[in-house]
Amino acid sequence: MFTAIAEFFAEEAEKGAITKKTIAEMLGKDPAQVTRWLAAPSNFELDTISDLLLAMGAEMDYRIVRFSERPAPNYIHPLLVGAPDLDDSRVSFAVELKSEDTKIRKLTPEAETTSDKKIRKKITPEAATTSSAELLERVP
Amino acid sequence: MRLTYMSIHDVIRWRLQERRLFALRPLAAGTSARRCMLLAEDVWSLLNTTHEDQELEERIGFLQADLEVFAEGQPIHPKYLFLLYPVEDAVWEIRSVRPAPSIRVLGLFADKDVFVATNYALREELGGWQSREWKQVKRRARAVWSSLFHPYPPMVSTDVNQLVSGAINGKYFKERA
Repeated sequence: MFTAIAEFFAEEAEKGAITKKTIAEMLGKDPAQVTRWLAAPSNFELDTISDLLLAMGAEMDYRIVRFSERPAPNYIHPLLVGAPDLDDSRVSFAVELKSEDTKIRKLTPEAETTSDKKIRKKITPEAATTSSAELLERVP
Repeated sequence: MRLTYMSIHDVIRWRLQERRLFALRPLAAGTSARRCMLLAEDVWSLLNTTHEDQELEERIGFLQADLEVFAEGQPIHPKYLFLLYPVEDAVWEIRSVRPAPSIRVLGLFADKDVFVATNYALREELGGWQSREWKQVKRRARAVWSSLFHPYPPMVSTDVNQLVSGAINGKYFKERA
């Protein structure tokens, strides 16, 4: 709230539209009081906000925003940059399969043993429903 | 001899590479992992094991969605995240309440916005706050932490704002006599 008011005042003051002194005069306040209001965050009363903005020829617009309607962030936590994710798991699983190619021989769903299926499930549900041949195709 | 200082962030990256820790990435389109939710093997296995029981599968889906609330950076509420007694153990629980059965995911904070989910339990199996079962799951959480990060301690604080960004004001722990 304070930031919005202070920024608006700074913009208006830069344009030469208003000064702290004129605000003080319009509100019948001591200029030092206006300086204090605009210097640091404090517990503004709604009346004070209204008066301040009125003196600057503006008013506060209130809007309630649902958390779900806030735009989604477009950044990722730095610790997760480059961390393995599910796709990597699928690829490493496929590489694992490739290295055991001699055991499996035929890369068809029918040729898979129960343990292969268990490994798939352990790694990722997607892998459990993807055939070995498909996984191998994804290996670079 | 040259000594290299390793931060807990380095250890986390190492554990992720070793696959002893797993990063939870939100699945919903347009979301990203704004906070870091790391899963130890127990929790990871629970989320990634296919169960024949369809109800259980759905329940685990809801659990994953609840954990993604943290990862997505959504506002955090004391009904969602709570510091367990004793405070100095620094074990927190994430409450996945609906649909029944209620599930508790225990974990500790490695850093601000970095939660390591160590283990989980069904609430109905835990009993009262002084029960042996509660002590066991809390001890297990500490043990998993030690196995992953020893000698690094978890972050200890009763001020949720030091641990999570975007926490709604509220009571995140209860003083016990």
